[in-house]
Amino acid sequence: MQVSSEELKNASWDARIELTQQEEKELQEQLHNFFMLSQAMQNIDLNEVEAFSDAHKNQNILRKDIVEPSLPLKQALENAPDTDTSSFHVPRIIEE
Amino acid sequence: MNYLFSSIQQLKEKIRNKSLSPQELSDRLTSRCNSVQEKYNAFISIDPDVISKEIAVLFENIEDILHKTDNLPLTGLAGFTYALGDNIATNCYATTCASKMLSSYSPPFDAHVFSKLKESSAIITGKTNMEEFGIGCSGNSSFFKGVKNPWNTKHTAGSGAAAAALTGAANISFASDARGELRQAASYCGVFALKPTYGRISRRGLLDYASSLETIGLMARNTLDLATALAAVAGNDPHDVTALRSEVPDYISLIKENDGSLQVAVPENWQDAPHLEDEMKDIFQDQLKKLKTTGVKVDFIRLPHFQYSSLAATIISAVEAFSNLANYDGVRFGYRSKGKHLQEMYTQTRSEGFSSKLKKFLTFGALISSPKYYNDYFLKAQKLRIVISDELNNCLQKYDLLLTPTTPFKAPEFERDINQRQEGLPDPAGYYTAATNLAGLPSLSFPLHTNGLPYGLQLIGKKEDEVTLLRAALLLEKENTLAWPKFDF
Repeated sequence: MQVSSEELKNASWDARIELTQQEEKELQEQLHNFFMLSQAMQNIDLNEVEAFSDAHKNQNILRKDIVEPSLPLKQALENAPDTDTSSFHVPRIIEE
Repeated sequence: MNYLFSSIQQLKEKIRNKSLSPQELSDRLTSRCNSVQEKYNAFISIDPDVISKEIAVLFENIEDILHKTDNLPLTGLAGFTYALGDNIATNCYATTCASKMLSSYSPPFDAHVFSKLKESSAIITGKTNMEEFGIGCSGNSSFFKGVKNPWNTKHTAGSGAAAAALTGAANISFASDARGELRQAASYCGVFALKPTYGRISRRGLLDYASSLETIGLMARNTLDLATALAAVAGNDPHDVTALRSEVPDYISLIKENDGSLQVAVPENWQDAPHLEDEMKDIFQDQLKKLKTTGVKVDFIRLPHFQYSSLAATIISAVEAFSNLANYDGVRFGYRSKGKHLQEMYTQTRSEGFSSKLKKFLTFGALISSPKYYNDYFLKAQKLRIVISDELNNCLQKYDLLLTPTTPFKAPEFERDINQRQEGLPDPAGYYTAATNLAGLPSLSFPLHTNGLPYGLQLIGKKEDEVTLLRAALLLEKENTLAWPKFDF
């Protein structure tokens, strides 16, 4: 199976990543190998198997709804590259 | 006194009779860690002030610690040295995940495991180097360069945690394991490693890339140290929904009650692993013979889907990483690049902040979870996870343990092996290890020392049955001579 350059560009956009030409080439090689190795997996009949995102099949684990102290504002802002006293700063959202 | 390779009891005795001063111990420990860093690049952070403060507290409280019997699992670890992988949150050290993205990040909280260790009067020696975000074990993606293997510096150590445990820069190293990274590095460095049952150790404060697969595990130079450390850090955590609520067994007492009647299964197609080295085949077969002579029953069994575990874990982990790492966007923490508008800033930040290997892995995760591939790959991998889990659990109803090599090959060489096979999708190093991450089962890598680089033997146990793994490791310790390398620091 061949992944088109456009598909790869769309995927990297979804991940908000820009691949260099060299990286794109390397990833294509990895994908070629991946799809080859996956062929046998495609032949396994899994229609009757329920998909689960957790091996222990945990579901809906809840704790009591008790209010606890949240992260103080100062600490929340401490690691951010650009802030004022109460918020994170980001570049303009709409392209010019 | 070579404190770092002596027993904890000996150390406590020296503190008690004042034949060792806090300053002396602090200087020796710092000097050893600096040497290990200089020679093998095992650490990202070492802070002599933190080391000396923790040693001072230990000396001040030694009598209380020795007499406290109501809190044994924790006090049992007093005086141990430990290192933490740099994806485990620590307020007193930066937590970088070995990434440019977080190279100056100081978490506003401590990981649950670190909080417990601080209560235990154990001494942190530093934060260890690793693959970026703990993904894989190949030695080519850390922002701080790869970790050299202390057995042979041309080869990767897999992680700084493994190198620290081997060289005595820590009695115990804690690191993450999502597809087998902890056990693979332990195999490359010839140390013991335990990946506990998923949820046995709280995952709060672990900056993970694959939440449903990843646990915090431990490495050490012997089984008893592993058991002591596990007892201290295992247990429920109300702030981690995935933490097990069951009571933590008394590992130290239980592992000594060994009646020697182990029944062990081996996957009949264990030799099908790509890149399996002949030397590993011979060593593994020797171990099977050795076990049989000690009265262990060994059967070969059919696990038809085991061979797909690394592939399934690669797909699931890439999709989870694509999601989990989406918050590294230069807004709330970490590296930020320039951009004329928000989307450009996101893309520039992530393209510059992540390594080339991670960029490809995340793009793969995005691709494989897109509508065109979702059903045939991601959904199939999620279903395969259940099939593989059921196969392993059924096998472990009949047998105490499942046995495989830990990795098909010894530590890869930086220049020769790494780029050609370690960036694979899937990574061939995970052929034997990924199944237990999919199934959430505990497993232990036992070191096998050879004339050259070491190998590892992987033991897989039932859910929450770390005791049987540790008992088996004790038995193997008696049957195998471990030839530890000598260090001149």
